[in-house]
Amino acid sequence: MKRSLFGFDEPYDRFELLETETKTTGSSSDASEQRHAPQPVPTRLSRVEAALKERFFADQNPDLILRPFRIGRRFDALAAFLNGMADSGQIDEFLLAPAMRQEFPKLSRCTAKDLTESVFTLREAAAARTLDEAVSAIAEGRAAVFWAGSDECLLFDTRGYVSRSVGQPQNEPTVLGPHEAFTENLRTNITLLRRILRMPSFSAKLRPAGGKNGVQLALCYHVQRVNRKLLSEVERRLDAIEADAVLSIGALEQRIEEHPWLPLPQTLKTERPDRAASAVLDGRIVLLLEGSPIACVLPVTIGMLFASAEDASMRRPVGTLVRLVRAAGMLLSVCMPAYFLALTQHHAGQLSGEVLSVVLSSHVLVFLPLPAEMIFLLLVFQLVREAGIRVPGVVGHAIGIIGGLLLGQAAVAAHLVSTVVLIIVALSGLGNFTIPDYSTQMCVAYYRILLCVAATLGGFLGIGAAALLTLVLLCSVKSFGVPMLSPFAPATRTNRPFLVRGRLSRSGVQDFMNPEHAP
Amino acid sequence: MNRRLGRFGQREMTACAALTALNCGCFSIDKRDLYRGGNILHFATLLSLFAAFLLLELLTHLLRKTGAKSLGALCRRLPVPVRAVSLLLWAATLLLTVMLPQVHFLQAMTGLLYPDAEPVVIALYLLPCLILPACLGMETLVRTSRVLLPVTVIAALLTLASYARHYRIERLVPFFTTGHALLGQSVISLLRFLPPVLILLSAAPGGQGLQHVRRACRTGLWIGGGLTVALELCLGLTYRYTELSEMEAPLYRLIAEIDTVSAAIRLDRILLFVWTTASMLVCACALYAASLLLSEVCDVGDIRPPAVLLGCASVFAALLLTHADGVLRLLERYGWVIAVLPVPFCLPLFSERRRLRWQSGS
Repeated sequence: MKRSLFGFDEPYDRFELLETETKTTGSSSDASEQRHAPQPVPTRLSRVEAALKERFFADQNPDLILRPFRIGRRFDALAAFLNGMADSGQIDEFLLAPAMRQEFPKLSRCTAKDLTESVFTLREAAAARTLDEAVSAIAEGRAAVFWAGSDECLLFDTRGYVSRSVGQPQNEPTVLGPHEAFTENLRTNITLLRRILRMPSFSAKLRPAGGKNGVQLALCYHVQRVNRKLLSEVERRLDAIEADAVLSIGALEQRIEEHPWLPLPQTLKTERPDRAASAVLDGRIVLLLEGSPIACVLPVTIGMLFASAEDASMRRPVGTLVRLVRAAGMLLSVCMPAYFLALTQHHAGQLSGEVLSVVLSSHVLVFLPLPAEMIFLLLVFQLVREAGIRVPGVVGHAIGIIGGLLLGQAAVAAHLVSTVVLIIVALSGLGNFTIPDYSTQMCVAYYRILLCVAATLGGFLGIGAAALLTLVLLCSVKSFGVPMLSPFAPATRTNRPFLVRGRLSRSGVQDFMNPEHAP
Repeated sequence: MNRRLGRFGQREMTACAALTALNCGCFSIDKRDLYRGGNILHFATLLSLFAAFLLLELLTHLLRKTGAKSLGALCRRLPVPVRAVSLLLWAATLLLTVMLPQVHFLQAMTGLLYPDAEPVVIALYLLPCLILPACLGMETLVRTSRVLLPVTVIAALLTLASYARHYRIERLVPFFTTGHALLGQSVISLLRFLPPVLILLSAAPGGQGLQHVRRACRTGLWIGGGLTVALELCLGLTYRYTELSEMEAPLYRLIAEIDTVSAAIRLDRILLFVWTTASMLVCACALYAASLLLSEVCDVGDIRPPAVLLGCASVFAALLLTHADGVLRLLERYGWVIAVLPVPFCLPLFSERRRLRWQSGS
């Protein structure tokens, strides 16, 4: 940020999907630095054992299991896996038992091909020639089999750790849409997507997330619809991540987006597989992180942040009406407190006598000035909301009711706040809840406080200045090369307008995604 | 280079041209003197529009013939005396476009909304609204214009419609009291629609070809100019020319007198807010174009130092024009701050020049 604000005469080389058809994207040479030369698999089993013990700090880490055995009573071998991460039943039944059975096929030599074809009965097997590959596979929950005299090893997919079963979406509930949500298991999440997108062109590319904790990430996209430049740019940004740990999709998002200092989210986070699948069909990229039940969709536009998963399930006129109500709610949420403050603080003469007398009579016993009262109530509203979210289950709902009813009632009775202001804050809060995306809700909630400060300072002039600056910032922001206000500014061909719900028959890749192939 | 031109399409450019034309048509000149000759301004506006079209054709022809991509580049290819004169003219026009709406804005704000406020305080709100958009670049500016144009057109149509019952056709008479008044009015207001042409042609390399820029400019001039003529006609139907010749900002006044007011929603205030916001954006566009011109001619690689300098200077000039006493008082009190403030922004200019000189030397 510092560089972009104060750096002079720097080349304008930010990644742009729409505009830079002829330009190359930002350089990636610095990102893909080579770490160290990969260590080959030692041919002696004692060395393999020592190396693995060293890598996994076996003296402090009892979870590493190193099980020596003999393949067909002839070849010394070693199975390595992590206790709890790998399914011990699979290892016993499909790795150790076949290798040690009495009727063993006669093998003249012991190669990876022979072993996978004639000995081990596990479905997924891959050969590896470096110890690094083996180590990261073991850390993921796979089992590695080494045998004496070979410079390669076999990696088997024996992952069998416990995970939560597929549940209902907690933050994006719908009435008409499906009731399935992502879980913490990456494989399950990919399967949930594959169940909706049963097409060969859907790809889920697995790769490390970038942190030293070695968590896997899936890049899900439609091979024929995704823009290759976008894909390579996302991979470049992922390559550039240098973090100790990537623990959540939110942390990952901040490391790859263009403006992490901007409160407005530049990706869409969803827990619904149907929404993620729809984004994939639109030519977007969906990031799934191991251990995170949220998918990250990119790039996004403002329209997408204000759309709900249920819109497509409703009939077109109803869907359009619901969107209009949502837009009105958002406007109400943003403008109403500031507009009220501007009128009462700076332009009281413009209000009719009736309105002014109602405002004054409700405020007359309140000791706080009107702007402080408004900002105080908005902050209390956020406080109640935060408490409601953090407190578990039923108690959370109770806190909302207690906060909303009792606290409000008591505050009015104690002349801490006036009824008019309370009503305005409540209406504004309700309007805020119509915004479907949680991150956008938060952004709008805090933005209205900022707007209140501007209205207090400068009345309509303050609101105008703040609104213009916000609009200008919104027009300048891009999410992975796509302007946030697309398809309106810049104007592009669209089949999905912002307020009116588009026809279902016209869905497909939007023009601003700059598709390479016609869908 | 960090001149932040970006790339933009024809519809965004059209919106920018229309918004600039509408604002320049309504706020760029003090029309009090012009109304003294009769109620003819709506007719004179048509002549101004025609002049703008002529100039657009002339400049695009020159650009095509010389192979220059923008006005700045064209300027460099002209012979030195012509270059100096044309540069001076273009820069002055653009800076006036930045400054004059601010003058009207300050007058309207202190006259209508904030009678007790210090103009300097109001100007402080103007400053970030001018400088930040200009620093973000042309791409952002034209996109913001695209968002604001429909709102401004609706505001203009609402302004026209809400006063319809007060229109009297006899107020348009006399068209002009003396023969030379028409000529005077036309000549003075002839260059009103020049800024949209200059802004778009200065930033032409971002507009995907001169042909696109020309087409966008023409469409924008038709939209903005047409609305200006309608508004001038509306003003002529609402007030007599003798009244108009004494009003400071008649359009703001007209908006302020709209009587479709409900208990809580003040249509007049909302319209005023839309007009002023659009006006600020146009000022930022002109500021960007002027800064671009300056940076191209002076070989400055970054748009921000000239934008900050010219922005501060224009607000200062607008303040001087409207409230000289207040500004002088401010200078007495905080003169040293005002003198020191632009220094950090000047430094990059000098370092840039030094770097270029060093590069050419090596």
